[in-house]
Amino acid sequence: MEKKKVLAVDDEPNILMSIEFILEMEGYEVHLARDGEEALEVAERVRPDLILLDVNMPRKDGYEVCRIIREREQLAATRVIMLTAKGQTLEKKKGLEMGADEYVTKPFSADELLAKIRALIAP
Amino acid sequence: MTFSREAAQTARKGLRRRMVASLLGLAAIPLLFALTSLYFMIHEDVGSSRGSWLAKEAELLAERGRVESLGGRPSDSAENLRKSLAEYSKKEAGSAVLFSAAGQLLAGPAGTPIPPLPEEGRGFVLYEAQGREYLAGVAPVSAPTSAGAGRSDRFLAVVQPSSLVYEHFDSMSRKATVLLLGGGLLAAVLAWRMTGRFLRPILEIRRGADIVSRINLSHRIQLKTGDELEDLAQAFNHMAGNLGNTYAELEARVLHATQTLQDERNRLATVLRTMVDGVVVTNAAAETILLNPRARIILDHAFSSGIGVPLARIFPADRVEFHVKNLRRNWELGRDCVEEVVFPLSDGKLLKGTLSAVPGQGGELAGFLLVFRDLRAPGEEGNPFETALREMPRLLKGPVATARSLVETLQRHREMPAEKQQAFLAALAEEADRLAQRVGAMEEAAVAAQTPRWPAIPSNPRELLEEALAAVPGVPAEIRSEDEPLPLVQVEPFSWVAALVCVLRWIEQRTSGAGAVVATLAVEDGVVVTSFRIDGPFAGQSAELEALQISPAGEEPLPLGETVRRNKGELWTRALGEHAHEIRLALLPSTCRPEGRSVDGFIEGEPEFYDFDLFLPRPVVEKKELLDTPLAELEYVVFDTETTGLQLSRGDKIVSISGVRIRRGRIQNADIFHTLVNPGRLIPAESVAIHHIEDHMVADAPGMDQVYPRFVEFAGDAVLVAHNAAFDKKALDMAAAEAGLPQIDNPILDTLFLSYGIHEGTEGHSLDALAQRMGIVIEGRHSSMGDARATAQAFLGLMSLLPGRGVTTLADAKGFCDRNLLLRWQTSRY
Repeated sequence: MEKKKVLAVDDEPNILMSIEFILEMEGYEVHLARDGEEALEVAERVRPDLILLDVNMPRKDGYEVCRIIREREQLAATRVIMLTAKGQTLEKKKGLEMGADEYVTKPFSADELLAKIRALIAP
Repeated sequence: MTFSREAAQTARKGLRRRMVASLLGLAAIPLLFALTSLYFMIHEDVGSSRGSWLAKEAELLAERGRVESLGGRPSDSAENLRKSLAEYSKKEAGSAVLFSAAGQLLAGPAGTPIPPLPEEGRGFVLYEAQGREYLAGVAPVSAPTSAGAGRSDRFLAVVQPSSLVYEHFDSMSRKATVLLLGGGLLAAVLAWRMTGRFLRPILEIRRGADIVSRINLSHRIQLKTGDELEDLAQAFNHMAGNLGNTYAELEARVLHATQTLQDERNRLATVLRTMVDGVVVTNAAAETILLNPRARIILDHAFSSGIGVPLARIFPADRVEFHVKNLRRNWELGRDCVEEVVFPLSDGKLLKGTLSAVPGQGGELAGFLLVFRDLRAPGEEGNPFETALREMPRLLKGPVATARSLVETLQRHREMPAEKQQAFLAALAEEADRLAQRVGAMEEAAVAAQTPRWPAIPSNPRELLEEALAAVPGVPAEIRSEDEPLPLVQVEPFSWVAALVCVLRWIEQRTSGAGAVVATLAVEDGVVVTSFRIDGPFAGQSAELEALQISPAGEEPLPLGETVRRNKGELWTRALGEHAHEIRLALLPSTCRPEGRSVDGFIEGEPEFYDFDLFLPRPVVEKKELLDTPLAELEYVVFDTETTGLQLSRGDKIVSISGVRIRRGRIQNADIFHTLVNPGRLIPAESVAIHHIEDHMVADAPGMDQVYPRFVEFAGDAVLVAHNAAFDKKALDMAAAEAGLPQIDNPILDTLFLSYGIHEGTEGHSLDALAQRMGIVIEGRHSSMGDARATAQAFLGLMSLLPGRGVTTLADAKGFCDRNLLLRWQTSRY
């Protein structure tokens, strides 16, 4: 069976490294992007099953990326999980309304992240 | 008393002329009557005596003729008679003629008119002939042939023209008339002088009154005539005396008032000078009338007065206009008149403070008071961000150094035992946590310092949206919202409305006015969302939205996204199918209660320095003496409640309570108590229809258990006054029972019963009827504040009428109320 593809987008390389390690251990195929522009480019290329999207990023923030992804037909099946800061009720609401399927507040534990990903796509 | 001297002169002349005319008239009219009748009497007498004499002459002539005829021949006698007649006619003034009974001249001068025969053929007659009047004496002449007594057919007449008869009398009459006219003239002169004697005292009084009215109130009229005029002068003096006293009293009061005013002004000046906040006072037109030194420093107005400058020229114009408009509207509605404001100035200062409406003496809007401080200026507490920044190296160095050393140790000693490695990793995690904690604090301080502290206040999102829609009339939008009351949101109202307006303008621009916009307010997932749904073509790009510029007059422009986030809000768009879009603005509901507001509607800790009556010592009246104290000296608290209904014993509760203090016979407009009360139950629609207090308005209001002790404190020892006090007192008592507090035992007066007693027999004693009768305009009927104010005015009106009913003390007034209560109760039984 083909591995599920996950695109993780964050401007923190260490976080990316950590996420990459955790997800690969769980059997996902992991792609990385450092900012919004790069995320769109990679998503177009690899057609991920799920995108982990940080809200605060340079060159197109998470909301904007999410909006554009939702406008592209070939990415219609892609699930999006937003990474937001803690306790930002309004951001959560905005993210979900702009096309995100789920959100995870930072800092997150590996277990929580994996549970939410598993709920959307099985590895 | 302002008639001119000339007018007085003509008035005097007029009076004098009238008096002379009346005096002369009184004397002259009977005199004229008497003289006229005398004239005619004498005229007639002269005629008849002359007539008699002429008749006698005629008799004599006739006799002589008869004697001669007896002695001579008849022819001789006839000749002789003719001769004697001619002689007589020559000698005497009249002419003698002999004529027949048929009126034919027999002898005598020709041309003499023949008189008609008098009765019995003798006597005198007055007759007219040839246009002249004649008087004639007639005597019969016996014929010589028949000397005996026989019927005579000849007569002798002595004729004179009557003008000759009256000539003498007429000339005498003329002389008498001249004399009479002379006498009349003399009388007129005398009368003219005599009236002067009557007029002099009157003129004296007038001059005295003139002096009193113009120059000298202590002048007194000196008049000793011993008659009514002297009384009049005394009355004038008395009046002048009273006038003088009143004037002196008035002057003393004006002096006192001026002194008080001066004191108040000095106090105000001192308070303002020493205030650490900037204070700007304006008139009702929002033009500056006062700036305190602090305000001058903050506003760089050190060298110009700034007086008379509109507030909108000193502070950002749009913001000033926004808040002033709100205050005016709230004033009209009888609501709280305090706005929290933030004014970003072009020189980078950020002012924060309150703008409030200042009531005038008559309860009108007299002006505005702005109290502010500069947030950017270093305060006493210092800048928290700077403090945090200074502390940070010390706080960060430790964990960083520890972490580095732990990591280095781990890298170097890879063969470290597993348990040791675990301990190192745990220590590393601990240091990371510590670091995160300190950085978190730093971040908070940075956010607080970077984001200007907009004074967010709990606001009604619907009102804000309505305001924005009203500002952009080009967008045909309607508000749809959930039926349930919306929670308040925590925003800075001006910038939030500006943001909504900015969005609406953008929609207007991008839809070219086509397509309807539906504005919706809803609570979704605990978030208050304002959304604008656009049906139809929409050319706007959502990426533009964030960067839209909001540039109110007098301020630096700010992007829409930033404005929304400064209000802790979020903004986004979403597509609804093919042809509909939605722009959404989300806010968190306000969780905290309005800050710093006490139940009586004023900011705590802020002195009411525009009412300096508060500085004056409060007269202490012992409770036992209270009943014997004159009504005018007592202090009153006039109060009113609005409730969920009229069935207090079946669970209706107070939703609003207001009180107004009356001290020294004056309503103390600034010394008021006013609050909404959360009744802890729903307010029935029929009650909402009366007082317009809805459930959501009282949601954040304090309960009666909190309000009651505050009201008792406000009432103090004052006498309570209410219209139909039984109801309001019962409402208070039930609140007391609920709060587990003793009932308020202040004396209570009821304007309803006072009105029954005073306007006996008049129909209608409702507050409306009472107010109408006394010419009181109730502003905000069925708002507790409006009703309390109106009741206070009515009470003052009734109080002024009470002494006329022998009611002067509180005990009297209570008796008066009770008597009328009893009377009402008795009459209601029939």
